[in-house]
Amino acid sequence: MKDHPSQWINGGLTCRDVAERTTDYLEDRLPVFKKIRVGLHVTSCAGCRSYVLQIGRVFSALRSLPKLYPSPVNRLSLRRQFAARHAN
Amino acid sequence: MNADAITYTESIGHRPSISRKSQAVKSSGLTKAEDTLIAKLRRGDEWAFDELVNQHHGMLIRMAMGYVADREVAEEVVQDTWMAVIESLNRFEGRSSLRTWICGILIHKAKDRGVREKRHTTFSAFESYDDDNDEAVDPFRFQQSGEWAGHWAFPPQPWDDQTPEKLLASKQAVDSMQRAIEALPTILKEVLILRDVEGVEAKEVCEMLNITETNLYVRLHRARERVRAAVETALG
Repeated sequence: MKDHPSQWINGGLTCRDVAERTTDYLEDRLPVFKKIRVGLHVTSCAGCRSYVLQIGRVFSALRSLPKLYPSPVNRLSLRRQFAARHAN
Repeated sequence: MNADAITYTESIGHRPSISRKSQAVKSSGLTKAEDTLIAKLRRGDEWAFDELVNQHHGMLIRMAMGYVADREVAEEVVQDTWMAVIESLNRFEGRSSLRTWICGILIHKAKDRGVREKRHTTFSAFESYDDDNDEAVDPFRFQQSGEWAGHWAFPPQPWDDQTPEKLLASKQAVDSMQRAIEALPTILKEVLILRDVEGVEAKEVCEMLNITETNLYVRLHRARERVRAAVETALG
């Protein structure tokens, strides 16, 4: 464990810190030096690399969830209401 | 940069309902595309109304599910919201985007319905949540003491073969995501749905929910982590 690269690269930045800042890191919201430190940590730490990738993959999957539409009955009812409102 | 990071970066800038080309902001605060859409709606253009419903219905259903007990009631709340939109369209002043305005009507109606149902149901909308306490990731996954305190004790296992497409193709993973979203406290669910599922830009989400950008990202990360953890459990 003493050879863990984060020991000399990250100077006190723990996996817990990185996990807590993952969304800020992915959304490019960290100050530049913090971003570099997090990036170096992620590069050198398999656990954090997996974590960051998983948050990114969950995000991508969420963005692709199927769209929801009203039932035909509800849609028809809305169309009628809309048409009636503008017929007046 | 890896493929996931590219997908992520491209996606966070994506706004599905209105193309970027048409987002020149006018003095009213509305985009040109919104101005055109509103003009069509006020003229009684049924195709424009259909388009509006198609754009926002999913967001409204998912948002309503944060306040009421089941999908059937959520559908009723959303139907009421659309009726209110039809009735009030001529009073819309353009001080916010059309989507923010519609979302405001939905939240008002859903909260009202949720409060009326509260005594009969127990669900996530009334779970207490505190932005300042809770950490996103379970602290027990990290070393508690010693030289490696704060580093992973139980790191996430790699999902080398789980691309976003494969996750979506896995019924187990999608069901676990849906259940995790449903179980989120309302204030986490709102940000996850608006920002990640619907792709609403951060500034607009803050305006819709009346929260700061810092609050938004704290909540967003906690919501994403809960969904990630659910998928992790489902995938074993």
